[in-house]
Amino acid sequence: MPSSNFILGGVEIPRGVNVTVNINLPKLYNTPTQLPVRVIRGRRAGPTIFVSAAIHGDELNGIEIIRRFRKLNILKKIKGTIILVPIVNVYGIMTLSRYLPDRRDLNRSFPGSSKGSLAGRVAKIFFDEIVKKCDLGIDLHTAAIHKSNLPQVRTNTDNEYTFRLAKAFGAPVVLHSELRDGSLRAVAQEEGVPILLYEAGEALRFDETSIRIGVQGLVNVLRENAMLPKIVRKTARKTPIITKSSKWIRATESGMLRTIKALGDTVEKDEIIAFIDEPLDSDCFEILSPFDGVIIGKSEIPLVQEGDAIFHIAKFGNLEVAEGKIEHFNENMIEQSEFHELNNEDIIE
Amino acid sequence: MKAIILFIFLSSWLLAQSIDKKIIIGGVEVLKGTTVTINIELPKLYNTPTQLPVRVIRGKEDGPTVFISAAIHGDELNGIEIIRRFRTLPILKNLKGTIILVPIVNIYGVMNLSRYLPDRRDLNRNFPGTKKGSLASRIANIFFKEIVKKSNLGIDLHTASIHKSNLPQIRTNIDNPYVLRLAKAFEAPVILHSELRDGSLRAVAEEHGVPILLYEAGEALRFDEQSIRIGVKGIVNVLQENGMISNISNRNSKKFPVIVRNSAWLRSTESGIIRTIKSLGDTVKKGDIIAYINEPLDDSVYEILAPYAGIIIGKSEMPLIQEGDAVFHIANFKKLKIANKKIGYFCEDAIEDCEFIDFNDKEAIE
Repeated sequence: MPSSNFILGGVEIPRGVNVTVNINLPKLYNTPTQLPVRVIRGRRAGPTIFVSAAIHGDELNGIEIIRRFRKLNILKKIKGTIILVPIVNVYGIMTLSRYLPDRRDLNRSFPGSSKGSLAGRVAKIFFDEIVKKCDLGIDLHTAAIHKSNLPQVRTNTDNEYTFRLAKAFGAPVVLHSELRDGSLRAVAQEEGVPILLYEAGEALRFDETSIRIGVQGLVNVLRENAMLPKIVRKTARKTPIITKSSKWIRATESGMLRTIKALGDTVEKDEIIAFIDEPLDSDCFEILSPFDGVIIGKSEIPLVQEGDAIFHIAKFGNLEVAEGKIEHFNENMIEQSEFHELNNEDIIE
Repeated sequence: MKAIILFIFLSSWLLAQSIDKKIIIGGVEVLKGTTVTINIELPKLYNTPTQLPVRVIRGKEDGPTVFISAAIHGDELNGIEIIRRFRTLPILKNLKGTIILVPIVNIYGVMNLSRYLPDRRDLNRNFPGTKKGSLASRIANIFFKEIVKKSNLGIDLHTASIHKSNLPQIRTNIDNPYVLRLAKAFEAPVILHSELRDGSLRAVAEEHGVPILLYEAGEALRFDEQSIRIGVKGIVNVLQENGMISNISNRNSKKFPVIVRNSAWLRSTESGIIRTIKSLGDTVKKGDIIAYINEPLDDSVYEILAPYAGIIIGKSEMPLIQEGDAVFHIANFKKLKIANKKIGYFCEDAIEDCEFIDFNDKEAIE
């Protein structure tokens, strides 16, 4: 893979070059559609990694993470190659939708086929042109529509290599996550390309903290992967909350939902985390936490139906330790970054 | 002109007061000193029976009738929670007159998380409605006849539209001294003079002598604790000002909101990914950068500038934007120092302790 000839979208990219390549995709009716890709190739040899965002067209934080990341001066020192794909699902973005125009989920359509559905064809192009040429991938997501996630890295924590990179990322939570059939992560891993999944923030929204943790996380992973020079640390790096088990708590009633816990809050078993009301009825149903843990995902919409997911809680026994870690990772991020380019960015309000 | 409006209002109000009137809603008579929930039949949603739930609280003593409505647009939800908190307040036991609460006017829209009715019409452009018209028109007709026409005043609770949010604000006709007095009493940080829109509840109700205060706060499909608190307190304040509940709050500490006659939605000149760098309630000077528009892999950046000095009273929450989309709603207001002070004062105060214990023991929505 890391040979001196690197060809993407039919374009040969020599070492030491930073170039944008547009790969042709099936037209959206009569509108020409392309997949814009930025390739940053260092002068020195090293691994090839891709960073992708918006595989789900409504998950946008990753687009801004890539925009800020690609402007960092430190990338001049890169060993190896970085492929940036800020919008994989170009069609979904146009319609503010997670899905493709054929209503399929791109992240369930890998590895795809050149004769399959639209989703299958787009998956195939992305997989062949980008994923297969890489040694590692970082895929940027947010929660689904009307939900939000505490910044977290999802990966196979039983794989020592990805677990080490996941911890290096510096998100407050690392969640062990099983593979899903047809997902980029599952199929890439079969092909020997491990994937770190960064999940942070809400669909169709930008979140400054999620973006900052994401940009710094990409740099941290590249350092850990020996693609950027390491920095000497004065203090030992804090480990994030690492959890093997988490659960989405679902509504037992339909009605108006009042969530009274925020992302990153710790909860004890049987603590009230939400109420479900009827507009003119005095009945009020309480939703309780089924175990001790940390809120890592939540619903943002006040309407809920029986069966809808309300809170994603990561199991974690020692709540005091959890609180300390969450505070450490969040505070660090909004304060000064080591990169003046990032400090110069106006904060998104 | 003002005097005439005042006279018309006073005379209609006096007329309403002079008769010991019967209050009948949805065929149910509501007696003095009772609180009832009435379900008014609406057209079925395909084969699912649909009803409009209404709560009527009638005091032992006579007084005006006020309706409070929410979710006329099915995705504007803060008002539902405002009404839920409001209706549990013990001070309502000493009510003079009648309050009609309609927490969800557009029942169909709420089911679909949509502003509109299933016939794609906007209920708030279909008043007064007709019995034989479109679905929207039929609902408008029922709501107008059963609720609005029986009231002396209405408070209609809204949020910004989908993917937008509003600083808590009252919109009304500030040239009408009676409604301006009530609007000030509400104590939202901003009062915005607002022209009538054809077919809107406010326009048609006003033609029928029922003035409307419109409360606009927060985002569609979201609850916002601050907007809800200012709303609950605001309704209590208006009822006090209107002589319907006794003055238990210390009205010496009256606050004066920012009153604005002109505002405009600033529209995007480019399509792309937008980063808004000002938030609701921020003041801006003419020429201040308030947002950037980028291309994902392109280094060109478009700046969006404030066209005049003022206060941000509405904004887009979504990072995708197309040319022509509204980005910021800016109230034209030159005295930025005063504006800063007032808005800080109103917003902080709402989240801090309130004089009614009933408001404080509520769990804050996160």
